[in-house]
This record gives sequence, C-alpha cells and structure tokens, in this order.
Amino acid sequence: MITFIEKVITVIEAKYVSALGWIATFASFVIIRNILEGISSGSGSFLSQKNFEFFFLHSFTFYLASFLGLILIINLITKDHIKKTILFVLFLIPIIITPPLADLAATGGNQTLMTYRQIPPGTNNLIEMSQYFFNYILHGPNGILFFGESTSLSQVYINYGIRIEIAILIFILLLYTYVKTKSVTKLLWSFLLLQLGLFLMGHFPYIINLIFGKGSGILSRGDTIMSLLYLFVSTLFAGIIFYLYDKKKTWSVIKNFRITRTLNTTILLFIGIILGIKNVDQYVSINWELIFFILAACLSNIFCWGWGVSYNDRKDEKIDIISNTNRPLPSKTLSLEENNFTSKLFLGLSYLYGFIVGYAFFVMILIKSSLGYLYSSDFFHLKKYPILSQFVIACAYLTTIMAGFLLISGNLISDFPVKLSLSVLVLFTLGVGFKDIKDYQGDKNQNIRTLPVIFGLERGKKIIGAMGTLAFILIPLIFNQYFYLLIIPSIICAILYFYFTNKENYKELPVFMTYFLLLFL
Amino acid sequence: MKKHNLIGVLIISFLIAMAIKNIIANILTYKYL
Repeated sequence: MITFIEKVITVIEAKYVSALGWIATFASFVIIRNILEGISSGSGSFLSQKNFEFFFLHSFTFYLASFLGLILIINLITKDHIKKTILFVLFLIPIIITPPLADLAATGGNQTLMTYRQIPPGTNNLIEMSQYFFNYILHGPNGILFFGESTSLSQVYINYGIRIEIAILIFILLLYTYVKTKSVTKLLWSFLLLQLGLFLMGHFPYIINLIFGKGSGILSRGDTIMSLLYLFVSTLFAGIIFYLYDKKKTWSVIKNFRITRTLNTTILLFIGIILGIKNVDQYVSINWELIFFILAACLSNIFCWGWGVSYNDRKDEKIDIISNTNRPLPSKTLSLEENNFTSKLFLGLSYLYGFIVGYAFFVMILIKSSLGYLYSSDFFHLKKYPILSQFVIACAYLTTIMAGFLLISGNLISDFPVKLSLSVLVLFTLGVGFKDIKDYQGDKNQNIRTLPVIFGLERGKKIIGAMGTLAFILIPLIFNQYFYLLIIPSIICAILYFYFTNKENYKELPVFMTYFLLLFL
Repeated sequence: MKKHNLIGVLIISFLIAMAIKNIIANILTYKYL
C-alpha cells in the first residue's frame, strides 16, 4: 500500500508545470467549481451580474489563499523542496469540485447552502477562541470525536459537500505526510496545523470581524473586503513560496524594485489621497476599511511599477549589459522567461488589486501601465526621444496622483485641480531628466537619443541640472500662496539638485521627495 | 521503512482511522439536509 502511494507521489512530482500553467490549472478548476456551486446552491441570482464579485474575486482569492497556505503548511512539515509540494498541491486542487457534486447527489438537486461557519456568541478573546478551537478539533465536523451527530459545533445542516471534501483532504494529507516523513510527531503536527488552517479559513469573516470590529467593512462590503484580505494573504504566501523556491532570484527581483523609486511612486499616490480627502465635502473617517483600500492601492501601484521595471528590463537588456550590470537580466540571475513571468505576474496583481479598490482607480492604473508600455515597447519606443520621454513619465506621475485622488469615493476626475495637473506635468518634465545620466554609456551604444547622448555627458548633465533647477525655482512661483514658505527650501533644493546631477548622480531622489511632501503640508 | 514503537503505530492507525471515520460520518449526515 505504502509503496503504491509512494509511486503515485513520485509520478506527480516528476511532472512539469510552468508557474502560469499552475495558475491556469487552478483557475480552470475554480471556474468549474463556481458554476457547479451556482447549480447546487440553486439560487438563480448566483450567476447574475451583480454577483460577479463573488464569482471572480471572492472565490478565486479564497481558494488561492487556501491552497498557497496549504503549500506552506505541507512544506513546513515535509521540508521537501517546495517545487514538489507545489506540484502535489496542484494535484489536490480538483478536490474543490466535489462539494457541489456531493450536495447535488445528496439532495437530488434541491438547493443547499455553502457558507462560512459562525463563531459561537460569547467568544471574544484569544483564550475563549482557543477553547472554541479545541472543542472544534474534538467535536467539529472533522473532529476526533465526531460521529455524525447534530450539535452546534458540528453544524451538520450546512456545508454537506464541503465537510466531505475536507474529510477526504485530511485523509489524503495525513497519508501523504506519513509516507513522506515516516514520523509520528510530524504526523501529529500536520494534523494540528491542518485543523488550524481549516478553522481559520472556515471562520474567516467572523474572525476578521472579531479583530477589526465594525470598521472593517466586512458587514457592509463583504465580497470586496474579503477578496482584498485574501489577496493580501495570497500575496504574502506567494512571496514566501517564491523565496523558498529560489532565494537568490527572489531577492534580485525585490531589489530591482529600487526602494527610492518605489517610495517615490507611493508618495505621489499618497499626495493624491491627501488631496482627495481634502476635496471631499463630508468628513472622511479613517477606519480599517479605508486602510485596507489604501494598502491595496499602494500594492497595485507598486506592482504596476514592478511590471514597468521588468518590462523595461527586457526591452533594455542590451543597454543594461553596459550600464546596469547588477540587474537580474544582465547579471543572468533571471532568464528571459522568468523575467517574462514576473512582469506578467506583477501586471496581473496590479490590475487585480486596482480592480478591487475601485473602478476609477483601476482605470488610472490601466492608463499608467499603457504609458509604461508605450515608453518601452519597440514600435513607438517613446523613451528614445528627449523631452517627450520625460513628458511621458510626468504623465505617469500625474495619473498616479489622480489615482490616489479618485480612490476616495465621491471625487470626480473633473474635481482634480487643473493648475496642479499642469504644474505636475511641467515640473516633472523638467525634473526627471536625471534618470538618463546613469544610462549614458548604454544609451549611447544603442543609439537612444537622450539629452546626455545628444549633447555629450558633461553638457547633458549641465542641461539636465539647469532644467531641474528651473523646476525647483518654479515651484514657489506656481504655488504663490505659499511663496514665503517655499522659496528658501526650493532654492536650497535647486542648488543641491544641480550639484548632485553634475557630481555623483542618483542621490537626489530623497531630497526631491522630502521636498515635494512639504508642498502639501 | 523505519521501525516504530507501539505507541507510534497506535497513533498513526488512530489518525488514519479517524480520517476514514470522518469521511463516512460526514457522508451519513445527508439526513439532516
């Protein structure tokens, strides 16, 4: 028996699936499950358009978080290479289509309910919660002492199919850990961790409600908040899984985000958010719901930037071989295919987060990524043209600010101050020229006509410095109501900017940022 | 295969038996639907 199971496991582990293939297989089964669940739950509204959030976001992110968590739990116990665990868990995914099938078989097509389990009233703190968890392990529907009786703990009147699914899952996983590790303690650990994981996922919205209270928005905007939280969890788990898969590659991808630039785009987003909060007439209460949304907006924005970086890396590989040898592609840390995957993953995550945050925000992220595409892609390759390339970047910065602005509900794009948008465009067009300095050698080699390439490095630096200085001097003139507040720091920054661009470059960003923040205080 | 002591074998059999018991017990709850 055990040798047979071992053979099956070896066959599964010998298979190959690409990361995108894993996601596609997973998604296919989730779609099948959702359709079947629509039939077995028997509510006609399930497949209606207003329930699309459940169909496309809530369920997907729920299963994603669950299965990524399962990968981590199993891997923690078996200590295998995570690649093997990932393949085994993919093999387990079809199990999610059993609950609706079991429901249909048991009821003959009558509607049955699948829902989260409620935490019993009177469970408010961690001690009471652990007591409840202990009872759940003993008498819950997959407890040690459960024999099919109907109690408040077993709740046998709901989730018929799901309970069977989980019972089968626990059985398979116990066999798997035993065959893999042959250790009794590890078997007990895996049983306990599985129960804990299933407990958390089964009670998720009620646990969130317990932790964050009514401000979490879980009661008013269930599907949206749930998908967001699951997506946070999934992102974290996926990050850990990538790290376990290949530490070196994951680090190189993370380092490639470059903290100064990431901070820059996040600060721009926050400027938009602050403007948005100021613009709304009524008082915007800072609750957990808003914090979740802002966090998701930041992640969406950062992943959009991450996509821009990896996409641009692919297009600029020849330049980076000369001027940025430490980046993942030129240093051969990532292959071209892996780079392709990370860029797709980041773009997908960015859109997904953006879409959950809100429609207007999503559109802004869409515009930003379109600009990024036109900037780097071969056909128009806007990066090649001086001034225009800086203008495109300024546009992307403006959309970032607008995205933050539109994140606060009640704001319309027509409310966005025109003066601000124009000045952002002008100032950043003048100000972002410094980015071309460090790529000078590579750009020259590939015939990309940036300012330093056209005028030579020394003169190019002076021109860029002068443009940036002009931008800094313009700031107090444009925002003349704060003239006296801004004039001194802006002159200091202008001098520093000129000094930095003409000496060693790339140190000016912190100055830049601290400065721009000042504007809105 | 590594040799187990008696307690180990008992725990393993118990957990596997429990898992099988739970599959059957849950299937039999169809009467409460």
